[in-house]
Amino acid sequence: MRYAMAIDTKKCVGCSDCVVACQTENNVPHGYCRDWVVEVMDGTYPNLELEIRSERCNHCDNSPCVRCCPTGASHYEAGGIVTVTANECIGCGACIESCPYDARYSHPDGYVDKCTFCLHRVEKGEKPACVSVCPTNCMYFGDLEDPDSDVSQALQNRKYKTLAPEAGTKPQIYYLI
Amino acid sequence: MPDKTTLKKAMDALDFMVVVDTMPMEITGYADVVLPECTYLERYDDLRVEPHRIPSIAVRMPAAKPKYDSMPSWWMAKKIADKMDLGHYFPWDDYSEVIDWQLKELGTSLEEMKTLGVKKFDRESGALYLREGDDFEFSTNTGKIELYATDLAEHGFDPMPIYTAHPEPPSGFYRLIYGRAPMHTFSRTANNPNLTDLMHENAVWINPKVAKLWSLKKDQYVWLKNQDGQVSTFPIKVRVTERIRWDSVYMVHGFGHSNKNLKTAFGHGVSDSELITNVMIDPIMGGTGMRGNFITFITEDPGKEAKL
Repeated sequence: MRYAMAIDTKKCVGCSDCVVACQTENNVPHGYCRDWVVEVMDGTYPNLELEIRSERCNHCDNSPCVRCCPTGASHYEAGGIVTVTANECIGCGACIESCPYDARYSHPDGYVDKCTFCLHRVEKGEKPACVSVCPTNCMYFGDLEDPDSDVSQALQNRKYKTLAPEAGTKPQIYYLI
Repeated sequence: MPDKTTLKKAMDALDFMVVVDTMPMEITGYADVVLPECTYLERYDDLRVEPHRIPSIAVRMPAAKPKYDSMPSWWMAKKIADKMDLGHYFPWDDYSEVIDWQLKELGTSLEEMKTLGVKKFDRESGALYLREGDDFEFSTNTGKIELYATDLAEHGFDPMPIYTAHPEPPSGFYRLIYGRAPMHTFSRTANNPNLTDLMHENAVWINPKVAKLWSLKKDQYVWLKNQDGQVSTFPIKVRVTERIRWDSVYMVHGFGHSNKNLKTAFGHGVSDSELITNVMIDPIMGGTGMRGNFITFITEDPGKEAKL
C-alpha cells in the first residue's frame, strides 16, 4: 500500500477551502496551517500563464525529516504516511529545516506539526478533509498500488509533475498539469 | 454600498429605519433599531425550489444553534405581528411547521427531507429543449428570435446595439475594477477569523509599467483618490502584477470596513464601494455599471480632512 495524492492544477481555483477544512478538522491553531495555496504566474500581460495549486507535506518515500529526527518522533505510518508523535518530539526543529517543501511548523504547544493525510479519517475509510471539501473536486487520494484507486486513475491519463524532484525525496503529491 | 451620497440622502429622508443584519455592518450605525439576525447556518429558510432541468426541492435547516441574541427573521416578523395584533396571520409556533406543511403538500415531509436534503422530481412541463420540427413561437412581436428588436424600436431605442465608447480615465487616473476572492463572500465574511487568516486585507493590483511610472513598490501602502475627489478612508497594499492592464487597477470587494464593531475586519484595506461615486445606468433596461470610476494614487497620508 502507498498512499498518495494527485491535485489538478487546471481545476484548482485557489479558494483555500482545503486550508480551512484542515484547520477545522485537525484543530490547527489560528495563524498556522498544514496546507496552503500557491499561485505561480508567468508571462507579461496579456499573454499569461497561471498555475494554482494546493500544497502540503509530500509524504516522501525518502523523507529527510524522518532521517534527521533525533528522537524518532518523525516516522512513517502504514502506507508511507509521515507523521510526528507529539509527545516524543522535543521541538528541535531539525525536520523543519530539512524539508524542501516548508511543510512543517512549530506548534505553540512545543512540538512540530504537519499534514497527516488525515490518517484518523483514512483509517476509517474516509478521504482527507481537504479532499472531501474541495468544491471543484480537484484532489484525488488513495492507494497508488491499487490501479482502480482515485489517485491511480487520475494519474493514468494526464501529464503530471512533482515539486522539487531534484531534492531526491521521492514526493508523493502529484500535480496534474 | 456605492454612491454613498445618494444613499445617505435617502436614509436621511426616512422617518424610521430598521436594519436586519447578521454582522455589525456600517449601515447598522444609521439605524433607529437593529435586529440582529442569526446566519443562514442557524435557521430554517424557505424551501429552495429548482424548476429547471431536473426539478428539485431542497430544505434549508439550521446546522447550529444561533449565537448571542441573534434570531431568525421569521421569528422577528412573528413577534412584531403579535405586538401589532396581527398574530393570527402567523398561526404556528415555529417556521419548521410551515415548511413541514409545504413538504407534505409535495408528498414528502420535513422528517424525510432531513435525511434527503434534496429531492428530485420528474419533469411535468415537457422536454427541456426544442426538437427538430417542433412547432414553437418565441414571445417576440415576430414570433422569431429577433436580432433586430422590434420592441426596442417601438419604444424609441436602438433596435440593433450601436457601439458607444465608454469614458476613458483622465491622465494620471486608472479605471477601478473590482471583483471577488474565492475565500470571501462579499463583505459578509470579512470578519470571520478563519477566512481572515486566509485573506485579511485587499490589495490594489497595479501593472509593473504603472508601478514604475509612480515608483510604487510591492507591499507599499497607498491611499486612493477617485475622479470626484473621494479619498479612501484607509490605505491599501500595492500588488505589482502582470495580471492587470496598464490603464486599470483591480481590488477585491468587501474590505476597508470602518465600523469598529467589526473587530477583525476594521481598517483592513480599502472599500471599493467608497470610491464608486459614479453609478452608470443603462437607459434601456436600467442595469447599473460601476466600473466607470477612476482612481489615482496618494503616497503620503492625506490626513483626516481629505478623507471627509
